[in-house]
Amino acid sequence: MNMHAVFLMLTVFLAATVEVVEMATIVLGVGMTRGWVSTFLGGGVGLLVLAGIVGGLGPLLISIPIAVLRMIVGMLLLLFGLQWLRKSVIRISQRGFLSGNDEEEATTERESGPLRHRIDWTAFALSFKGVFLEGLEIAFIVVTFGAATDRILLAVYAALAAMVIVAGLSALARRGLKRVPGHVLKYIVGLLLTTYGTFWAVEGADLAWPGGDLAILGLLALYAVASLAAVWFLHRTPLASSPGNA
Amino acid sequence: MLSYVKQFLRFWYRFIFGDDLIAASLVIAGFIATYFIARSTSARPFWLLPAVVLLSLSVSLFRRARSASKER
Repeated sequence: MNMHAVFLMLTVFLAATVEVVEMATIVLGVGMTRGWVSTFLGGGVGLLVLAGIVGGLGPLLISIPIAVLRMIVGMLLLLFGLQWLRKSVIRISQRGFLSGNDEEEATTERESGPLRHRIDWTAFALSFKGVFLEGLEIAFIVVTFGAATDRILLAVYAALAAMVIVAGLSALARRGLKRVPGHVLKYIVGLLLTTYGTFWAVEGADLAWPGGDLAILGLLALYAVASLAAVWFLHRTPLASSPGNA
Repeated sequence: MLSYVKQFLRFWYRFIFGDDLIAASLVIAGFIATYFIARSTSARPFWLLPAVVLLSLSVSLFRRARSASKER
């Protein structure tokens, strides 16, 4: 394997890792808060649709208007994430970060009960969008770099390696996240969905973020600080009733 | 058939607007403004949408705090 091939694999691996981390964050967050069956179902259908499109179009894939997809998926994730963020800010201001065993924690367990045969369409839609959009971006990376250097198979291997490694790390992270109270987990997921949603929606409007993908961390910090300030403010101004579930 | 259509529309309404129509409408308006400013001028208003998101969150929480204080 020559130097060009190593450089290609490393580039595709790193670029794909960024996208897979985004995909895994959404799937992990939604699965932990809404239940796994519908989340995996949504992600699985997203992968199937993606495989159909990639298989059908092949190298023509890059003609898909990805900006439009980013705009639609970004806005939907942003609008939904903001609802969770708002509701969890209210809950944390009422209960604090450390109290556990509320009714929301039961949502992670609910698929072991009689509701397990029902599909949670919210979890399905969130997971589908995350997997489909990020998967499409990974396919773009593979096709763009692989076709440009005429080494498409190497690019596929590099992207697959990124997926396997991030999936393994996500499985490990899930064990640790089980100890986090339900309302705090919902706050984290709301924060992440709002962050990714904003990032993609702005990119979909054909605007580049300063710092590229690093802007995600800036947005996350901005929203975290603002929401924690809101928790502090609401804690001093107690609310009368709890918000409903999303 | 009609009930499925209603359920479908209700799902998407809840997904997009939830229980705060004003907060969601603010964000949608912020995105539309970002899109058209980016398309029709040389400005790069990438900061506009995050600013509107923070505004929407503040307005929504403030309205809720105010209505709660009225109830007391």
